[in-house]
Amino acid sequence: MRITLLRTGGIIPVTKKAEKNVDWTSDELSELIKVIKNEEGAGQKRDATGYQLKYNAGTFSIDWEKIPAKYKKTFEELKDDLAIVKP
Amino acid sequence: MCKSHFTPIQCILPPYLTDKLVDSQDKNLSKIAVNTKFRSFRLRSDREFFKNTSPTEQAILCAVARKPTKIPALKMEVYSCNKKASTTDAKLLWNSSSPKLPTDKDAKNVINAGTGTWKFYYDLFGRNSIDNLGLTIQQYIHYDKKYDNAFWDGRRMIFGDGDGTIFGSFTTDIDVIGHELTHGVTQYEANLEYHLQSGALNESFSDVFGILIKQRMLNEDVKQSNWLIGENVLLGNKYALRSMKEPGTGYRNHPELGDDPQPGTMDEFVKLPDTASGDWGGVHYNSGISNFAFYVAAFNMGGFAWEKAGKIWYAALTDKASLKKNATFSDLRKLTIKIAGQLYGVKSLETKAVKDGWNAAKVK
Repeated sequence: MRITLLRTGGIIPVTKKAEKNVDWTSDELSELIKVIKNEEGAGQKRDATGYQLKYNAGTFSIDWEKIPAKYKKTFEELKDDLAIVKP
Repeated sequence: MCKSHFTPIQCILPPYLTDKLVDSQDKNLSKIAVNTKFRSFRLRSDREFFKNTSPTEQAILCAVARKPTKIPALKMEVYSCNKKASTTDAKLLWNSSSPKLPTDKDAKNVINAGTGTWKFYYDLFGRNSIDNLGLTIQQYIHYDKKYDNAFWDGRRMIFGDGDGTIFGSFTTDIDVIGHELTHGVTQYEANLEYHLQSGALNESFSDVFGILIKQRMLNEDVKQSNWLIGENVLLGNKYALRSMKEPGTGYRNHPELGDDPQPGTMDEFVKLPDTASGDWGGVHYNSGISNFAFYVAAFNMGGFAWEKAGKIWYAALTDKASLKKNATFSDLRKLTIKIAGQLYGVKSLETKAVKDGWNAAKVK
C-alpha cells in the first residue's frame, strides 16, 4: 500500500510531502490510525508544524509522539524524505 | 489590593460596652477601653476622609502606602535539543545568572534577541516578561534534524537549524525571535483565537512587535527600516518571509516556494479552510492586511515606530475588555482609532495616521 506523509504549517505555511510503499494491510493501518490520530486544533501552539498521514481511507492528522516503536523507522524515513510541494 | 485601605473595619465591641469599661475599676481594662475608643475615633475619621477623596487622591495615597518593589530582572534559559525532535532531554546551555556567554552562535542569537525583546517590553511598557509576572524566557535551539521552522509551544520558543538550502537557522533574525516571544505576550493578553481573522490578527501582532523590536535594537526609524520579516532565514539576498510594507513581495519567483501569497488589502482576503492544512483559515496569509495597516500608520506618524504606533497597538493588545478573543480586523480598526484619540487627541496627526492605515488596507 502507498502511504503519504504530509507536513503542514510553520511560520510561513509550507506543505511538504513524502511517499512510500509499505506492506501494511488496511486493517493494520486502521488500527495504527486509532492510536496516532490527533484531534485537530492549534491549542496554544503558534507557527507550529503538524503531520498528516494520507492513504486510501483518507487523510488523518497524527501525533508524532504516539507512533509505536514498530512503525517509527518507517515514519522517520518518510520524514527525512519530505520535500516542499511547489505551489 | 488598594481597596482594603478603604474597607470599613468592623469593631467587635459595641460603643456602649467600651464606654462602660472606661469607667472600670480595673486600670488595665480602663486603659484598653480608652485606647479602643481612640482607635475607633481615628478609624472613623480616616473613613470619613477617604470617603470624600477623588480617585486621583486615592491613587496617590495607595502609591505612597505601597511597599517599594524589587526592580524586575530578565530571567532566561537557553537549551539545546541536540537535533532531537523533543525538548525532554534538552541540555541547558546558558541561563541569565551566568556571566559568561556560550560559544554556540545560535545560543548567542537567541540571548541577544531575547534580551532585546524583554527590554523592549519592559522599557517601553513596564511589562515584566511574557506574562508580565517575570516568567523565565525559555528558548530551545537545534530542534530536530534540519528543521525549517520556529514556533511558540504555549510555554517556550523552539528554533530549528533550517535545511541549509532554502532556510538557514531560524535564530538569525531578531524579528523572528521577537515574533515568537510576542505570541507568548498575546497568549497572556488578548489571547486571540488562532484561526480566521482573529488568528490573522494574532500573527500580525507578532509581526508588528517583531519588527518594532528589531527596529529598536538597530535604532532604525520608519524610513530606515526595510519592514521585512525574516530577511536572513530565507536564504538568498532577495528573499524574506514577509514584507509589511508591501505584503506579497517577501519572495517572488522563488524556485521552491514560488510567490509570497500575502494580501495587503481586505478586498484580496484569502479564504482557506479552518484546518491545519488550510493554515487555520489563512492566518499567515491575511496577517498581511493588518501588517500593512500598521506600516502605513507608523510611516505616516514618522520617527521611531515603537514610540507612537507601537504604543497604540500595545494598548490595543492588552485591552482585554475591548479586544475579544474572536476579534476581527474591523474590531482592531475601531479600537486603535479610539486609543489613538485617547492618547493623542481625536483630531491629531496620530489618529489620522491610524485611520489612513486601515483605509489603505481597505478595512472598514
